[in-house]
Amino acid sequence: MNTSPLPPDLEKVLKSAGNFLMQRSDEYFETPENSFHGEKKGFITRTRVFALAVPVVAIALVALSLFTGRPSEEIKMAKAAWSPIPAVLSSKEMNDIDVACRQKSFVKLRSAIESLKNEVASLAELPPSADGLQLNLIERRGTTGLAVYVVNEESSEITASICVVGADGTSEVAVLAGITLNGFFLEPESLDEKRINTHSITLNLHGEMYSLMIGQFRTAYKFSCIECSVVFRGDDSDQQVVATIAGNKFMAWMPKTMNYTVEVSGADVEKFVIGPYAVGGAYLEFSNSKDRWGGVGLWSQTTLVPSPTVPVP
Amino acid sequence: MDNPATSSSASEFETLLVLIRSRLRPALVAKWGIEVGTDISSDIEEYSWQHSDRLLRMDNPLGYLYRVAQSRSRRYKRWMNQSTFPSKFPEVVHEDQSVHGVLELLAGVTEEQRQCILLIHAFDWTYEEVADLLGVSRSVINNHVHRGLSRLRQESFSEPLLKKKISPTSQMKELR
Repeated sequence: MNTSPLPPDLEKVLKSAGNFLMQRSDEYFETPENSFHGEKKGFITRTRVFALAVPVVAIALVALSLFTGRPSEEIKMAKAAWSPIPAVLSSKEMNDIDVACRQKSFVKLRSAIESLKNEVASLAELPPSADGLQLNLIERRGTTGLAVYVVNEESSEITASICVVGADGTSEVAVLAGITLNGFFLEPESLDEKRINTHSITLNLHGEMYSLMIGQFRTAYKFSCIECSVVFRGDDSDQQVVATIAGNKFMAWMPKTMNYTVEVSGADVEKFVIGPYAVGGAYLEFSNSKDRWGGVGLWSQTTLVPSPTVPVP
Repeated sequence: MDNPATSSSASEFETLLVLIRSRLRPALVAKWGIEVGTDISSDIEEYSWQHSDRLLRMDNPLGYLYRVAQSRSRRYKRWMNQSTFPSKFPEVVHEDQSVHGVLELLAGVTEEQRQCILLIHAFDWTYEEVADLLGVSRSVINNHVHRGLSRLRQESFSEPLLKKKISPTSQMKELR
């Protein structure tokens, strides 16, 4: 577990900041009339917020209806092997992708876990054979299939393999070891909390760069977004990229690296749009309506360069 | 003459009050800032007084009270979706530029990361003490501290959305 000491100057500044906060807190405690929060002020604030919110929501709804009514072919994606909407796969097609990926994924995961087990504390143990791998997400866009196997999805730091299957049936695998999808602290009384975490990855396939977003809903309590739809929208277009959802996880990828927004809607979640988010490096929080707090995190930009040849034992 | 049992529980309650002020309040201020954290701490003292019998029978009353504080925090935050750290009032600054700077950076990390960083590195709590209070595992605390410090150390705060988020006081200046 990483508990590296702080540089002395940062430690010192943090202590000064802590002392300052508590000193001001003591002063404030002794003079509670400074409190900004009172019943009357709260009522006034609520009234003002409500008065402002009504026209804003009305305008937003009109704008949203305009956007969703537009045709989606404004952007001509150059890469024929990709589609913004995942194909509906038959069980045979799913099985083909799974067969092409499972053994390679197992080998790569085993190799990654063995090499990183001394560095990442919460890496999971693999099942004894490839048959025990959990297939979490599977999809095909255009002629490119994609499968995700998550090893320790109950952990705060998951290890997953992402497998890409080309039109000719050849597959390439990359491993994400110890990434955090469960980065949020779930407050124990937040039964209505609905949270989404995503991890953004730049995927390099044969020299072409893609953005791949993998994420999950927090389902610790009663929120299960099984009937949800998730779409990603690039910042230079209004074309929707529909995510594949399975269980509490979702995935989508786009044929270039770009900023994007995430739009979530469904039977048990009010439609909301979050973003735009830049690929890599940022962590941002959002709140949708009805005081439901949530978040989207892009903890890091990971460049995956799948190796074309993976030895299969 | 005082009933020894009553006297004993009164003494225990006084100890609990001291703990609320010395241990819980720093945790609340670290998470929600000076005013909101202190107000919630006062609410918690009142709550403790009303439920002292039950609290004194608990193994971890501060942990329980922290959850009560989380519930109470919603009415402070619900209609004001804005950062209350380090202060609701933008004129609250520290004359030392480095301290002011780190407070602004701390305002840019998540509440949980900020709370864990301050409790451990500013108030000298142990990871176990923080984990007990927040009711989570030590590894979760470690994650919050590690990620929060990584963000504090990042020099590339050039992403515009992030820049806005880490500098609430400068945002307010811009609005003016």
